[in-house]
Amino acid sequence: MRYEFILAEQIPEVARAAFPELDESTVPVGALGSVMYGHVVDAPHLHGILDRFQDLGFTLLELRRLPD
Amino acid sequence: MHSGTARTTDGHVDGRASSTLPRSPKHRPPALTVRTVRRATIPAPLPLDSATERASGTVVLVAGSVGTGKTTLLADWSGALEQRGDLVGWASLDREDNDPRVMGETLLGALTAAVGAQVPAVDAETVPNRVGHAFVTRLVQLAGEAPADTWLVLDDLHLVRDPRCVELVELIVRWAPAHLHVVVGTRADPGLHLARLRLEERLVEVREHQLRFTIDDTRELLSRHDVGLDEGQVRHLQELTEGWAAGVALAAVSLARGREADAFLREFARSHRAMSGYLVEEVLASLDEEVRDFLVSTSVLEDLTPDLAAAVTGRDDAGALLEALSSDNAMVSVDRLGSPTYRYHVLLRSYLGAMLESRSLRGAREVHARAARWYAAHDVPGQALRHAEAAGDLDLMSDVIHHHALHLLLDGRAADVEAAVRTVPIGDPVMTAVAALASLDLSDPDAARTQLVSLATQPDTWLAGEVDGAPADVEPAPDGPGPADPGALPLERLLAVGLRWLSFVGDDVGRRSAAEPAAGPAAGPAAGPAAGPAAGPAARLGAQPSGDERVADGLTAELSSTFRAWSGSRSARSHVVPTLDDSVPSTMAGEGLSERSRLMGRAPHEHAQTDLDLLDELTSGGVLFGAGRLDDARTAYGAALGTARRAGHLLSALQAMVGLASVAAGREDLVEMTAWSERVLAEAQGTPWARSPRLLPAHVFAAWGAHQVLDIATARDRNRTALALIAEVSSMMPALVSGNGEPGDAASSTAARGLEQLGRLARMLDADLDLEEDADEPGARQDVVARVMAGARDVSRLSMTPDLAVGELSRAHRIVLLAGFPRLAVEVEQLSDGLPGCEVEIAVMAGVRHLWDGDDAAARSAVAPLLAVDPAMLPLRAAVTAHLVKAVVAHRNAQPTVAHEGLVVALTRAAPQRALRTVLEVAPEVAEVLAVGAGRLGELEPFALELREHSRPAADLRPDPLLEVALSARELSLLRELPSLLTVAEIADARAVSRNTVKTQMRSLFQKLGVGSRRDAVAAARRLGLL
Repeated sequence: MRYEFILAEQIPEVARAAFPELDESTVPVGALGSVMYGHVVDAPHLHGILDRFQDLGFTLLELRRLPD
Repeated sequence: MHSGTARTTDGHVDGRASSTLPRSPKHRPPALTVRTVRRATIPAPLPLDSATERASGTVVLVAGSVGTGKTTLLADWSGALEQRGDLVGWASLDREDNDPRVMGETLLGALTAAVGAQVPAVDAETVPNRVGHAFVTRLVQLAGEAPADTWLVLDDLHLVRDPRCVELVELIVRWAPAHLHVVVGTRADPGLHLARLRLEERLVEVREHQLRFTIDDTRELLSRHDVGLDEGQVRHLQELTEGWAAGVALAAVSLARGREADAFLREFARSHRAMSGYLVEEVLASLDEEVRDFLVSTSVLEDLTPDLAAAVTGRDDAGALLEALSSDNAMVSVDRLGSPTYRYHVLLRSYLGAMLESRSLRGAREVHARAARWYAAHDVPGQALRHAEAAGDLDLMSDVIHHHALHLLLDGRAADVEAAVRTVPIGDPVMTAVAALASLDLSDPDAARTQLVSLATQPDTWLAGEVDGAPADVEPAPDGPGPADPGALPLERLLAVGLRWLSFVGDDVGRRSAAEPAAGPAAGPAAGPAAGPAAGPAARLGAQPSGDERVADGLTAELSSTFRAWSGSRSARSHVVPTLDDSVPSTMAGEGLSERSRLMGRAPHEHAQTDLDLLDELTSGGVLFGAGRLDDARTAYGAALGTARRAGHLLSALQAMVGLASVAAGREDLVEMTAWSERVLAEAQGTPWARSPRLLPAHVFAAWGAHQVLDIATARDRNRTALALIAEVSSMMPALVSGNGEPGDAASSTAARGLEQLGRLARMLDADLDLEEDADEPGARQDVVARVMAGARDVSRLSMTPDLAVGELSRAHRIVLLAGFPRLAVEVEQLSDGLPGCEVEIAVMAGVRHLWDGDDAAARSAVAPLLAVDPAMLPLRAAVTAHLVKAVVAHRNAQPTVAHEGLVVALTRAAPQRALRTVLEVAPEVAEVLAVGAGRLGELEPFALELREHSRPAADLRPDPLLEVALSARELSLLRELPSLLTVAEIADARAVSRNTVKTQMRSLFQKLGVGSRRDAVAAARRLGLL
């Protein structure tokens, strides 16, 4: 499963290391914000990623599954 | 104030103490500093009237995302609540609590600290088997004892995801009495029925928008950091941070470090990065490189003590550094009670963790590895294992397992051990042996057997006595255990324990050793268990007979030699230490065992040694008990109890006491049986093991013990718990058995058989209690009798040991007789006939039945053979009953001297065991004999007095119109006609029914009365008080 996460903020460089399994899209969404995407193994993995967003204080705007 | 005094008593802070003591940092709110902003807009909650009216507690939900100041708010509240005179129990939940057992422990600790109640200390490393309703009930009761409103604060509930944990909280919330309130701090709405709580008007919600800093809060926080901003700047900062508490705090820290306010705000506004990231970086940028490194490398640890931080970073000044950080940084909090414990704000920690990963993966692992080593050295195996796993260091994991696996195992964390063992390389013999033990603890003897066999089929390993010389075809375990490692577990003893355990759990042997308890102490155990493992693997893996035979021989030889060595030294010692005591036998045992280890050329690690001793003693106790060597079993369990106490394994201590209770039951030592059982229940009370299936025998024995001394309420209570537990365990049993792959195996495995027997005991007692309580309710008696008879008829079909079968039948006999069905009593006697060793019991049954029938001569002659035997040689019940039958017969026939003589013999035997029921249930006339003999019983007088006090209720049971429920209304009215001279024809005419109807009713009446003629029926009815 591949997922796409749209966040309200830009991800600082340090924080990107917290998501080694995700790539960041180079195409910005709107004026601010960032798009991360990547392969998600299962539901616990997905929630783990969401938790990490939360831990780092990011605002998740959108989350959607990408066609494989 | 309770919590105040409690806090000062907590002195330790090494890793273990902080996680084990009930009032660990987990159970205290984080300390508030001078910089903390008091949120005037969100005052501490009051109990809601709407909730109190429902006799329920108030629930407060504080929900907000990271850094909104939830924890600070809750800490502030708890201070305010305590000032108000309320009690506060604080629980900082973390990921460890994602296990109902750990969570239960945390909640218990929090409430205990709040209420100041004394409950047995719980070892946090230990794992209860089940946390259920009883546990919650206990918690709620604990709160019920509190003198004031009690607030249970659960901070960071979002970390707890396990549905069973959520259910635990749900139950507490649902059952909370009017003065127990639950305060939840969480990032995500918990899986509680919030809608229902809202509907019941029990819920106070503080959500994110309320948590936002107001402009006043922002101003105050800045002033507390000595940051002077003008009104416009404050407003600007407030807008930029959107009132996000952590954001304001971080900005304040940066500003306090000398950042020029306008420039800071300008850059802040321009930055497109996440606010948190920007601010954290700002703060970190103001620190020295050195300090940043320190923060980064310690970020893997949740709780930091100076010692741990020093070990992880290699810096001697770690303590001073942490102190400095906490004093001027809002993101590092400290718990100063005892030696200080530091904690980074979750936001800071997350960023630091990411920085650590981005710098180097190896660096992160190295830090984890150092932390694992520190935890291992400080006896916190759970944390050690976790960090070792995070470090990805298999060697380290295997090392932790080597030193602490048994500790974890004994504490019931077999599943953890098993999972850990699965990730380390196979081919390490000690690891395989540990895995086998874990499998055994998880009731999977087949897996254990396979593991042990695989171990033994590797030549040159343990059979050759060379542990670390791994064979060429197996991947050698790097840094594997060997003589060079003094802390390693001695493999051969691990194996011996495993084999003994397997022989006990495994099917064939269990049956054999249980079936031959009379085989004599010499032959029984040595032959029984030794044969088992040999038969098992050989039969299962028949494809390669030669290798397997060799294995089997090896296993057998090893097992029997260890067994003999152990039991030999043990029985010799039992003469030296005749008294059973918590401490005495264990020290002796420890000497003997370590001597053996020394002979094997190793000086094992002290913990490993103790744990292994404990496991050894517990399994030995089980095997010896199964083999009928009760004295040896008692010594073994006594030693296990001592070892467990010294090592602080509460669960193992409980198991040892259960073993002691079982042995006492086997010896008919009712006083000791009850004492151990009640002690188990008392010590388990309030701990999460209160409902552990491992303690099931204690419940059953305690119930029977209470029943024996006519304490019906206690008996009922204990037995209810036992029955509920049995139902629970049975429902799990099929799953457990199906894993073995062999249908029909269920009945033969020791666990299943033990459960079945305990179940029979508990159901029998249940029937007995029902009879006593509901004797007057219509149908109750038939119901009881039907249940009992169904059980009794089953006895011959089941593979029960003769002892147990006869025991069950004799209980069934008594119940049936008490219920007024002498015919069925005869059937029970017939069922017993032919069982080995049942002669004594059958004689007693017949004697009692004849006595109740009023057939004095038959009663006397039935028990006559028993009267000739020394009462001390007979089982308790048989001896007491036989002599009382004699006494009652003599009493009826006006022979007071003989009656008194019988009474004295019976009481002499019964008094030491306080066997009240055994005496009184023989016949109602026992009370009369007692009354006649009063004052002439010497030192038996106190017991006789107690008996007389209890004889009222027991005697009342019988003169009740016993058969009222057994006889139909027609039969009763017919019975009244029987003493007359009316013929059947006349009776039929008088009732306007046919003669055949009357004859049918009479036949059924005779049958129920257990008589054959009209004359006997009248006599029986008179005796029963029906006429």
